Amino acid sequence: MNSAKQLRGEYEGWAFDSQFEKGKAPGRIEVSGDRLCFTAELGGNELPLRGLKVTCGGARNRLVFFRHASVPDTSIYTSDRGILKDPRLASRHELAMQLRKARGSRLHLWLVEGVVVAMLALAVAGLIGMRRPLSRNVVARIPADWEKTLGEAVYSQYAAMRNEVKAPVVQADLDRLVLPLVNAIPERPYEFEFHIIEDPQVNAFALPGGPVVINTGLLMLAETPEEVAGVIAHELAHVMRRHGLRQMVGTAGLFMVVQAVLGDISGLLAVLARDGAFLVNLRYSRDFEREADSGAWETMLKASVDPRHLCRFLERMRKRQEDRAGGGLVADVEEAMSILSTHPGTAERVATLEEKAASISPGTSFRGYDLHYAVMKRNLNHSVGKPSPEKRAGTEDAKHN
Amino acid sequence: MQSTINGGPAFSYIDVDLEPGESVIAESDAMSSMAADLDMTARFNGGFFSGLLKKFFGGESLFVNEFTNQTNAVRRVTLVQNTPGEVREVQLNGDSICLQPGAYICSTPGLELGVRWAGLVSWIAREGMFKLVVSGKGTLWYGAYGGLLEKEIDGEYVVDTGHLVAYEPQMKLKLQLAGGLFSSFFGGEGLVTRVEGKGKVILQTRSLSGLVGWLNPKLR
Amino acid sequence: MIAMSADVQVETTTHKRGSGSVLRAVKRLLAGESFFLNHYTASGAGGDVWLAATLSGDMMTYDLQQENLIVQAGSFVACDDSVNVDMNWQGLKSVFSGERLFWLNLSGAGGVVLSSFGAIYSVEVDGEYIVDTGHIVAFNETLDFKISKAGASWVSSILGGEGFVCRFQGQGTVWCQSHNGPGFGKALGPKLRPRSA
Repeated sequence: MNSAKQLRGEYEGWAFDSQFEKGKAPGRIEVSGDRLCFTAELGGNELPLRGLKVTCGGARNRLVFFRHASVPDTSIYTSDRGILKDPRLASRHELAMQLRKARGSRLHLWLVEGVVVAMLALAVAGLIGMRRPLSRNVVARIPADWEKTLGEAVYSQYAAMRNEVKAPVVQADLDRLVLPLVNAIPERPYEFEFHIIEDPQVNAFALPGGPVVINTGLLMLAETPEEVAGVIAHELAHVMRRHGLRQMVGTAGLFMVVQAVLGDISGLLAVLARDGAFLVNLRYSRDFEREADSGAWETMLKASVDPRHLCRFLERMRKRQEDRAGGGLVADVEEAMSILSTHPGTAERVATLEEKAASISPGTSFRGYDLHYAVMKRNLNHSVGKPSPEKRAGTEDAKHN
Repeated sequence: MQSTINGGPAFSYIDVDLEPGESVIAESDAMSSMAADLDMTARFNGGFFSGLLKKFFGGESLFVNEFTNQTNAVRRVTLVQNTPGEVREVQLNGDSICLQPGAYICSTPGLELGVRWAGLVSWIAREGMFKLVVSGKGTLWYGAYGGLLEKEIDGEYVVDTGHLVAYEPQMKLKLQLAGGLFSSFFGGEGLVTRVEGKGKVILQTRSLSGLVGWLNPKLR
Repeated sequence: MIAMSADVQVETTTHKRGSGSVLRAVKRLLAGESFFLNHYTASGAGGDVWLAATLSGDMMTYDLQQENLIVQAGSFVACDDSVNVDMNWQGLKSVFSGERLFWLNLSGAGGVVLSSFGAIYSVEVDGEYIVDTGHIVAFNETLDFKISKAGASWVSSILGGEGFVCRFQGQGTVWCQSHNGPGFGKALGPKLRPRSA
């Protein structure tokens, strides 16, 4: 290390030798023309350079050991690796090879370890990359019953703080609107339940297991029943593909997922139950949004409902958001809670849907809803703020739950 | 074979020096250090079924290790126990001794570790349903949690459950309530063992259930 | 620290005075030691400091003479100011030993105090010796150490409960402890009350 020391050929070290009281002693190593001398406080020894064996050893593989066949039970060693560059030693041809090997042996070790670490890192990265299929596997194992219970529990919590519009005339309108959509979804493990909640926020969402919520705000903004049908079809698509659970499992943590894959889903279920409230305003990933959009499109086509209305509705929403952007704190908060914030990438989605729209041949005929949307809105307006029939009858406990 | 018990009464361990050809059998994971050229082979603890019985009812391990010296010089193996405490060496000459679960550490090959029904008493006292009976000709080392006390009994004696380590096979154990009917019957703390007969019992000065009883309320 | 004279100065730092840095402290944290080191300096009249360890067992002192001692993290108690405490990466072999990944490297010259769980006994190695990984307290750097199986076959090793052991080769001393934490834990654990979630 110190070139001065190297010039002098002096290094600090130790020697194993039975002459020492403890069998070994610290001292000074000197490299001279034809030998390696070791001097301790009491005693010392020396090894001839001719026939010297240089090796690397020790627990960290960085000590340099010198041995000689003529004195098998003694050895001199040092932790000063500068000795490997000592000119007196290096000038000896037969030693040069050993020195080089000793210098390189550490590097070799580091390389091997580097490769193993890299492989481990790759394995971990691979596991993280496999998250999607892993979480899909896991969600597939969550029983539909459990999903229903979760969805209902979250819904009742949500609805307890709000008013549901239960006016029979509005309910009848809604039922007529959703019936073709629901029928267009053949195998459903869930019973869809549609609830209209009084809330000026433009929002609609579906919970795992079947409950679907539509806000009055959204209903008022829509202009045709097909637009509402489009939104509902989109939310139904989320439920059928279990996006809510998949999104939450995705954030539940890799360990939980791996555990669930290996058989024990109880930990995962516990996390989901605890975080169930987030399902109300879940922000789906763009991929899920895309999936739900194309699912909605399919359902609407199957139900013979004009899917282009969904596109129009989204476009209107997007314009509305643009207009209100920068409208201050209230507008920002509103925006954060609106359907747009939970459904990112609106412009993109509109573009994708418009592309799909282009593939519909102009002559296709769709079912018309036997529904005057303006009438429905009027009915809705009248029902908002009025207690529902059961409440009018006198049972007040619904609000106090 | 030379053996020394070192480590004082608190942390006893055994240094066994094996002559060429000799071996010693020890329970799983009892080896703390040994000469590199000793042979170590795992065997079933007395045969497969016997081993299973011992594992599930006797609290012993399914496998034991046999350390054999196949070199031509003396070699050392250091054997230890799980709990801090004393270790005792006993020479058996055709007689036998009953050990509580977990007390066995190691022995010479001439000894046999058998399992025998310990009686309902033992099971209620949470001492296990079977007791380990060591018999044959050879040396046995067993250990405890805490120090070891030896007592010659002639007649009757009362011992707290959890403190009994070993006893001679002719002794009878009977369960008894330490105090009244309600003194923690279900917790087992109120139970003591009445030892009857003529022979020796070995006790430990600490008990794991004592430590556990102190720790448990502190765990949330 | 159990007790000390009133006129001993204590300074808590992340590093040894005069050397090291926060990085060193982080390395120590990884090794299982605490982030902080306490420096005790006696005033002119001298003073006493009484030190203890957490697990019951022996303590030993060792005089380092310009050499390296590799110590199990957790066994380190104290050292002279002239001794360097650093984390040691024993390479990937530690990963497979099931023991801690990192050990401490004590180097320089001065006194060192180590503790253990159980009694400490030393083994002078000249050739080869096997020590169960959970029972190593410290060893000289001059020894090569490899993680390997104890018996002749892997089956034997694992069934026999020994699993991985350390093979030391060369010349040097290994200090071993008669008990190990996980072993006691195994005896105690099943009896403890299960933690409520």
